[in-house]
Amino acid sequence: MGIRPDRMQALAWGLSAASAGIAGALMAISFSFSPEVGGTFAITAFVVVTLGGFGSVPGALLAGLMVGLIQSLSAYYLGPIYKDVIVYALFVALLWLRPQGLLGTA
Amino acid sequence: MMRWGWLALGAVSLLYPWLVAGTGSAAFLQDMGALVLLAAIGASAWNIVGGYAGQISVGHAMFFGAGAYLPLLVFQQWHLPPLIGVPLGIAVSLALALVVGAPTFRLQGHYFSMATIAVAELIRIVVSYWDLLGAAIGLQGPAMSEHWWDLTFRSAVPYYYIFLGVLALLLLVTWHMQVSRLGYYLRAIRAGERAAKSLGVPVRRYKLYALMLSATFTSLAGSLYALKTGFIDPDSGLGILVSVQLIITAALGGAGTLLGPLLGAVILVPLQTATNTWFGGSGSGLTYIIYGAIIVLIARFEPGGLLELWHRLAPRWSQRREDSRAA
Repeated sequence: MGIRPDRMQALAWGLSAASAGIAGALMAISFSFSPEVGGTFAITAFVVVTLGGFGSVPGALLAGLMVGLIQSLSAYYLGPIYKDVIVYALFVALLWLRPQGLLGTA
Repeated sequence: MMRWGWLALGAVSLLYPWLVAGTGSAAFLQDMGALVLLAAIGASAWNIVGGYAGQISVGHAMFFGAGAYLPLLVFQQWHLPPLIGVPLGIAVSLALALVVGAPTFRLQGHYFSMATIAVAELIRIVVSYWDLLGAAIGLQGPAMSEHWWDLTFRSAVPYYYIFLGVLALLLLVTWHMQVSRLGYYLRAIRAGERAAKSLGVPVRRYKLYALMLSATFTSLAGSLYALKTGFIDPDSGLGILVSVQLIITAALGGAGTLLGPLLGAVILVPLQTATNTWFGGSGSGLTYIIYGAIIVLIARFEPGGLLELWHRLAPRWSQRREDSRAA
């Protein structure tokens, strides 16, 4: 159909990297960071996308807000170390209950 | 020919501590031999689910950690022989395998890999703050051996033979699996999950079997590591680099082959020791730079690992030799 898969994949990969870079620049304003901090954010991002539903932009937006709220509230009420623990546990629970995500279709 | 190769391999590995005993650095070389075997055990265990079944786990550190923590936990907190903790570690690992595998093996794609990372990190964080498990400081094993079943030796040689026995058992189990129904099912799953399912392979159940078998031996590797080192903390037992090391060792030699992980361990462990020796403490990060380079090179040029490269090149060489003889 005239679509060049390798070019589209490269383009998607580049756009994704560029927006992750913007996200990193914004986060650096309000979060502390170290060379190892990327992994935590990458897993959080995957949890957000899974929660929202793969390929769903409104889902990612909604889930991003939810995960951010959950992190802040659990850090406040349970202690800062549980911030990521809660998110990871949420991820596993999500895979049990609704692997297609909140707004996903598959 | 094949049988002679196996005999030679067996003889060399049995005699290795004696072969290096005469050299100036016998203790160092014996210790490295034990570490090679340990890495081979871990990588072969990962290989069952990551290689044969093609389900890439990036969280095997949770099984390794469970196996490493429990022997030292029962020793330090309740003054029981560490050996009692070995089956306990396996039990915990099997429970973890169910928690991760049961939901994710219904799904295809990256869910399993991501879930393994998430659960392993979750456990690492919780353990880092759990006082019973030594929190960030970690746990220690017996300083002095009071009974033989403490499995605390000064020399590396007893560990070498224990590790060799476990590795032999693991390779036997893997070989047996390879030619049994489980092995055929797993290869079918790796080649194409939908196709396997349509042919009546109970995909989910067999992926779970593979993960549980793999978790059992990874846990055992963790226990052996903890008993040999006599010390465990969240980073050395549960860090993501533990998982990465298992993957790289298996992938370098050849994931999904019987002897690939052993080959990977024989190459990587001395390499790691060398970089640590040459560059000292400041070079400890260099190991991971090398790991990164290896990942890129394997993924780009030789996804089947070194064993596959060998299988492709060896016939060509012998062909060339015959040609030159004929000419």
